[in-house]
Amino acid sequence: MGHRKRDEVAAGFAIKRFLPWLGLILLVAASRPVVGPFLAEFYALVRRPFWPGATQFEWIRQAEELANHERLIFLERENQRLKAMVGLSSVDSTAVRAPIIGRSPAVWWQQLTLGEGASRGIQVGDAVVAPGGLIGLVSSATAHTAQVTLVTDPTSRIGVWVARTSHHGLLSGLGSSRPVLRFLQENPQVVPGDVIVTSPASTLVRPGIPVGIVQGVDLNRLPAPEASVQLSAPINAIEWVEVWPHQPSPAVGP
Amino acid sequence: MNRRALTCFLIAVTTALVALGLGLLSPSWLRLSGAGPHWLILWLLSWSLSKGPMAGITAGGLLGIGFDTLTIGSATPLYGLTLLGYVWGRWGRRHRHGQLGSWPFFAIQASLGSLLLDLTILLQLRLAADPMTGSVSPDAGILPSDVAAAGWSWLDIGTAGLHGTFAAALMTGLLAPITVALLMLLWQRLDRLQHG
Repeated sequence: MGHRKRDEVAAGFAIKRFLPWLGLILLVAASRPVVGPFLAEFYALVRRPFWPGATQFEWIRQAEELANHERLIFLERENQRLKAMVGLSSVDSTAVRAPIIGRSPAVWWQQLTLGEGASRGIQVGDAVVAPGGLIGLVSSATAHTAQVTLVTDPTSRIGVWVARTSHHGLLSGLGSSRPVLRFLQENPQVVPGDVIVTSPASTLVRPGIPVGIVQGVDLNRLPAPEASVQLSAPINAIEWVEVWPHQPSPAVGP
Repeated sequence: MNRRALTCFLIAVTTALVALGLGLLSPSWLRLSGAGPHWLILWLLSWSLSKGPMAGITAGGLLGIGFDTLTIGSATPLYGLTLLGYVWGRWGRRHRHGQLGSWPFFAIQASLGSLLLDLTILLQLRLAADPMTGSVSPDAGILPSDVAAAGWSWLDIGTAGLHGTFAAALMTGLLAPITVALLMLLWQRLDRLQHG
């Protein structure tokens, strides 16, 4: 009984002693926008000696071949289309190579942390491309780090089309390793094996970046048909990525 | 005396930063289908058990804020970690001379804590999402809300989310006995060092 009383007294003391700690929490919380980048920078600095080397080279080579194949198919089609149009000048820009220094801490954050940032010109919205194809978009950047939202994240929505039939769709992450492609048309005429590339109509991402391959199609899905997509870039095996600067696509006249 | 306290503080901060970094760095062989252990839970469990509720709440809050800056999206583990820090701190105070050092206890607490933490994040992600996302009417094509309100739907949570939650709980529980025991030993040593 006396024990309980002593506990209460101790609790009273503890709350008083906790006040400075509470102040510290509030201080850190208030200075979060300022402190946050420093933490990321510090993490990048500590991680720097352990940057990934040339491991898993074979995986990347294979994926690269696949990507080239996909790009070939797309470019042929694109070429035919462009021949009919005149005055579309292609803007070339430099890509930044960046190492992956952090991966998803849990299933709720389908993200990557890159070891290059704003100091190399990486900006929010840039496309992140791995050997094989698009894997995500940059969602925030500090001086030497960048956070990438992967296409598998449920908050990711990317306009894509099926290169063979030029039917548009919306690639939505589900949190699992396979995103889903929701079509805009009733009858998308898509079959497993079709190649998915970023849409020429997209303003978010540069058109024509390969994304993946259709694995299965569910035509009975409402309100629009769906297809599960196997990403062509092996995200878990990749150690380096390229960041392609975001450029608003030139307005294409009718 | 003061220098010793500073040393202890620095060691605590360093281990906490390592736990934060390990969150992003879990090696692939420690991941169950992409979900790694919650390193913060392991650190916080040992810390709160040996330092008490107030230290637990403080550490939980600071770790939550730190973790928040390293991740995308709006969900934060801050609330879950703070709650766990308090609960484990109370437990540690009450059973100070009891059977704290048993490894099944660490494993079970870490697993349950991991589940609770993921639950708080799940609720945040779900409440932050547009409530319309889950309900789609037929023959409407793709709804504008489907595009704008991108986020975790109940369906995604039920499949990928729960899968990752349980995978993380398993891995956290599996690592808990050894890591928590080692960290508690470290806190004990530091206490002894600090108080002579």
